[in-house]
Amino acid sequence: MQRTLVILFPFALFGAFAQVFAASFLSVGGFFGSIFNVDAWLPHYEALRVLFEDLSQLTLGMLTVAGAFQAAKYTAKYYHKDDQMAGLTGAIGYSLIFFHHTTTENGIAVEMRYYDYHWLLVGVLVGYGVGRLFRRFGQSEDATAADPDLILNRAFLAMRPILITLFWALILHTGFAFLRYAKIDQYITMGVQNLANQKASLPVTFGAAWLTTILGWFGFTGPLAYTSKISEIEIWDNLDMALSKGNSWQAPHPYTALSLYHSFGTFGGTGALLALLIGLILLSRSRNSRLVAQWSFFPAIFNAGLPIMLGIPILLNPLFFLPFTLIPLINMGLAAGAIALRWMPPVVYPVPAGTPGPLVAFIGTNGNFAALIFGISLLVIDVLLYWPFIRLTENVNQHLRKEAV
Amino acid sequence: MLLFKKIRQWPKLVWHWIFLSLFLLLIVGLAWPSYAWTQANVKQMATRHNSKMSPVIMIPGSSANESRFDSLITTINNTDHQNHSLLRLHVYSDGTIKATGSIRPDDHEPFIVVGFENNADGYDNIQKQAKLFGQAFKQLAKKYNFNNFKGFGHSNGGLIYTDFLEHYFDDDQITMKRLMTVGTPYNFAENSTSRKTQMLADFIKDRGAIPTDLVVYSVAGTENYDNDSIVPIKSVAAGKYIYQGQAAQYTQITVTGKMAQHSELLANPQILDLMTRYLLDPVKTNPKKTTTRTYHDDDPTNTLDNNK
Repeated sequence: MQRTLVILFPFALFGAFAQVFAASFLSVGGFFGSIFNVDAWLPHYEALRVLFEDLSQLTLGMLTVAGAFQAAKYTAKYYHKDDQMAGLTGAIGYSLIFFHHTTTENGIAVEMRYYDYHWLLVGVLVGYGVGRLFRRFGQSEDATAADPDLILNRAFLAMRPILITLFWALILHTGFAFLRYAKIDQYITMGVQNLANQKASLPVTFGAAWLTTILGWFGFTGPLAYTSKISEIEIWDNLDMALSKGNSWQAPHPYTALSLYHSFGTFGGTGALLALLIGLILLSRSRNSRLVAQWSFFPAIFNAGLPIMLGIPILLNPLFFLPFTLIPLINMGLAAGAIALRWMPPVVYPVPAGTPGPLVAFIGTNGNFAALIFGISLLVIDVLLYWPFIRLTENVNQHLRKEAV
Repeated sequence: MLLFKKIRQWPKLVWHWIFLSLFLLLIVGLAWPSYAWTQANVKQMATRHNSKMSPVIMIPGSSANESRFDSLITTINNTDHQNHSLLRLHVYSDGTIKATGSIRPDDHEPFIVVGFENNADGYDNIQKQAKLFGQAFKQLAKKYNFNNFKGFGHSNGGLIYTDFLEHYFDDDQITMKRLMTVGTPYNFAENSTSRKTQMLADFIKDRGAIPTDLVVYSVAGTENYDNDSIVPIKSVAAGKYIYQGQAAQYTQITVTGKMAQHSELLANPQILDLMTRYLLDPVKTNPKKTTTRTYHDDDPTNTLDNNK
């Protein structure tokens, strides 16, 4: 299954590049946009942003559909069935389940929310299911492969699994439409967010962060995209106090998600992947890993970590489960300690979107240099923590290769 | 060429260190502009956050200009002795703004009146004026850094405010505390709410954008039993379909009798009273400190402990 996901790597990579350009460079609220006033001197910056957004929308934004295609194709191939047909059926089936359109004045607007990379796990599962359907009802590979005259025949032979897939997809689609009609999907999302939106105590912040990284490892960040929306009240409280006092040392809630997870737990995206990339580039013996890491490095600086998740892959890779879910927590623990010992103030001020990981805390503390140094040291510690796992992975891979030979 | 070859023969380790130091350099290099940005940003936010100014921003009705409220404001100043300063803005149709008057630096509650070059009646003009008002408001907010304000709209000025609130007011650092509209025809000249004008229908459709912490007072005048000689009371009352249930409070007040004619409303002492009571911030009076008290104090719950 991981192998199917590696195929998606180039799309994730280009998508991530486009996303970084759109969010960090070309939007007014983005990091470069705010700091260098890009909108003031770059002509047509809005048009450029839309272009990059379109590019990212059709790569990252359609990744789950592509994932369903790959999963169905690979599963069917594994059982020696017509894999092309299975792939197409998987992609269309997944799209149908979550299809939702509204007619507007200019045509039809399709909701893309469930097609983007947050729902990758669901897409892969649907694709797997379709692949299994082809195993039971589909034709075997050799019956479909050869004669071009038989192509039509091939299409007819795949009729049954396609019909079954579409039937079930339509049923799920109807069920989902009812849920949506009753706004239950929104209630669930809100309920989950409210659950995490309790008082920003240490256990809650840590628990929510851990849940996020675990789900991230599964490739499922849909309803629990751990945004700064969560614990928003505390963040406003903190900001209010800090603006009145002129500094953030006495913030009433020092251990918010912004203070800990977003400032110290996400260098390079979920799972502190920037450290892994540095580790791979410096230490890896595998040329492929180094290449993937080099390509993924630029977006990862701006916390877009999806390419490396698919490229190595980290997603659903048991070897990386421990570091991926625990290193962010270790970072948060160290940061909480540093705040408790008053080495640095809590992060309370707003930070532009797409700020490079180690700079988030620096900006969010109104330029506290202790926070900057602390962020960079955390990065070094993370590289050291990822090191044994990089070695372990390489040894395991080598072993597997030997066994295969 | 030789140099190039030599460089290519460098061991990987050197490359790795070059790479790492480049990355560190990038982070540190970006740290300086980040520092400048966050300092400026936080300073601006703190200025706004700690600002004590809470202006009353007023919009006159159609075919009136920014001097429409002059005598009203003079009367208010004569009554509450707060010496509110007055800034008048004339907004041209191309968006340029001419200001007359000024805001006294220590004035916590200045009046700002925004008039338009195109001050014609009609829904499409209201929409244009609301857009222009949005631009003027942004400039005001940037220049004076207030974090809250009160709104006052006479006649169509209240419509401009409604359109502004639904489409152009999106600043999360600024709260609109109260809005008072006087004689505002939310359904234009329609006598019945069963015939909704396009404008009212649009206002109701987009009411979700109106701040939920806003307190709204809609004041109607009636000379007879159903209008103020220009605006039907049913049209003023139609404001409930927009604000009621969406804003934090929506209060409908009807002023009757002498001087309840549409244009005379602004000189009506009752309106003046409503404004000072509901729209303006309460005047802080320094309680007189008495050192001697007798049994005959007005407040019977007073204790005789004078040392407090």
